[in-house]
Amino acid sequence: MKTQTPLIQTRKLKKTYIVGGKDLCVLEGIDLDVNEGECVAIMGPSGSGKSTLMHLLGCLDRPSEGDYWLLGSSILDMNEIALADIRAHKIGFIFQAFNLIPQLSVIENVLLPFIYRDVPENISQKAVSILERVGLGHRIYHRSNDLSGGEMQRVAIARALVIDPSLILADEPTGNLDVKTGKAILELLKELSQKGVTVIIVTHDPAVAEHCQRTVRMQDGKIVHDTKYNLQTL
Amino acid sequence: MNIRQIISQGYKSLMMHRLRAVLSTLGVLFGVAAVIGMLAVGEGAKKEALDQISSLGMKNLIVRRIELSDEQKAKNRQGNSSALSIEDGVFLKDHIPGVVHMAGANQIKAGLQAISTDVMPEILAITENFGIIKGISMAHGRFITALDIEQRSHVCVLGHSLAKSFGRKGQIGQSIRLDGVEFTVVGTLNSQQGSSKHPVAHQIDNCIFIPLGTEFGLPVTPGTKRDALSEIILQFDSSERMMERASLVKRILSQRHHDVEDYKVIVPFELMNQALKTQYTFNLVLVSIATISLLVGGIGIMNIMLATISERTREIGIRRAVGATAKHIMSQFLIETTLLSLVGGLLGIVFGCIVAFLISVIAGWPTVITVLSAVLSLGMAVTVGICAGLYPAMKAAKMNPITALRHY
Repeated sequence: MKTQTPLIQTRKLKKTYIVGGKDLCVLEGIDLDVNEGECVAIMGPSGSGKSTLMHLLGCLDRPSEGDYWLLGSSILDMNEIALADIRAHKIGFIFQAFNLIPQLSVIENVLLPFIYRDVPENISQKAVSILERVGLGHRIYHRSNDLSGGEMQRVAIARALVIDPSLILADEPTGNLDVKTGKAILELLKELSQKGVTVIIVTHDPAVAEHCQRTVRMQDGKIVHDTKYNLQTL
Repeated sequence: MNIRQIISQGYKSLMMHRLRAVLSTLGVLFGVAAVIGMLAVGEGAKKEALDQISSLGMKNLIVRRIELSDEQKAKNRQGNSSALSIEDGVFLKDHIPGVVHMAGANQIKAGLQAISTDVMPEILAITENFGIIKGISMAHGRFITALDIEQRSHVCVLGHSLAKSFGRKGQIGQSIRLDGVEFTVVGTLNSQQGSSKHPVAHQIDNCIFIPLGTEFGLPVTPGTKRDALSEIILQFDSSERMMERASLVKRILSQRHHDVEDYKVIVPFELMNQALKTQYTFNLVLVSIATISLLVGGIGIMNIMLATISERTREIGIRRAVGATAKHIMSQFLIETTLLSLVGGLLGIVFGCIVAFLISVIAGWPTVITVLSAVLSLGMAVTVGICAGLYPAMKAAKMNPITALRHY
């Protein structure tokens, strides 16, 4: 039995948008717990609300209803500045489109969060060693749009890691990569989760979900299946 | 927030589109150059006007004889007014408080023999204090003295340029003939500093001074009497209350001349004030015109920033995802526009100085570039940049991070 407080706890999380005068409910009441160190895949077809859930978990957006506790604190109590602070200190994002800033160099991209928060000592050295760890030690000063897709995604991972995050959120991280490179990226993410970083991967591809210990299936804004509880109940 | 990083990243973004950055600063550049150029012309004109007036003497009051119209002469034929005279001068000096020196001068039209025709000499018959009031300095010899005037000695003093053009004949001891009458040179002057081109001023360098009273036998302006003066100068202890003193002079003379206004009172101090006011208005108009071009430049920057922000929507989303607040985003873009207008402003100052220099060389107008004009126009440029950037920056800050990240 796990006795620790889950990293992530959501209760009846709802998100509704107003589109053309009508309410569009994208999330219908999500109850999700994720413990530290878990590697979770959130799977579902397009329109299932998985990306919206990821945005809420990543504090990029606020729920319309329900609650979300991250590291034991409710985000409903937090204002915009506090949420931005959490993103800068605790959460690392990885996107399908890599999302690096083209005119900046690799190392500048990795150090981007530190414009918006306190800067720890020796952070440049740390960034360099992380880049080496992901296999980009030789590309540190290159302009980021000179890199290949796989290399760019590794920079994104380095950017996520440099803040020592509690949570990494990856939205279709291998969507723009070939099979081989994609596999390498997923291995990297798995390695991180083994080291204790909580990783959540949002995907529509079952092959990607295979890499994770736990898969949560979503459909029409609801969780329809969670392998964690399936296994337990088995 | 790490400002230095934001500035260096802002610089990099601008450098990504070099031509665009240059084009967007052009408006501010020309605006600033225009302000500097216009102010330089304005200040140059002002300095010239003020120099001219100040050489008349801020502590002086000048009373000048004016020619009466025929109608006025008819009225005067009864001999009411005996024209400006040295007695007037003495009376004014005795009855107006604060007079330090008084001098009289009578302008003569006579022929000077043996000189080149391109020198137009002024012949002034003067009292001994004329030199002190005008601040002349002797190169050689001495000036006209009270004794010369008393004895009606036929001596003369030459201004610097006049003495030069006489050459050997302009040295002390030599004789100058004025309409056949001989005058001995007893002194020559140094070149008069800051000589004025003001219509009221005398060109001292081209003057020949003779004692008042010795102009008999020389043609004088018809209708005037002996001992008549063309000018009285009063020098006061200070330049305060000049208008009060001027009205006192007018009252005294009006009485002495029996209400005949065959004179005018010139107050350099008042001329100075008027000139300052005129120049100030002039400058204001010029700068207002130049400011309009600066405003247009600001609109240019706003336009470019809106387009740029639209292109960088995704970048805004990325920054938000790694922890930037709306305020951070707004500051970033405000800093970028400020940078743009700062660079435009600095370049504009350089450009403006070149323009002012060219104007002074080609058109011959005097120009004065002041530090104030540079600071003022740079300040205006930066203000324009910040204001122009406000709307685009707010737009960027308000962007929803999620939609921004999905943007193409």
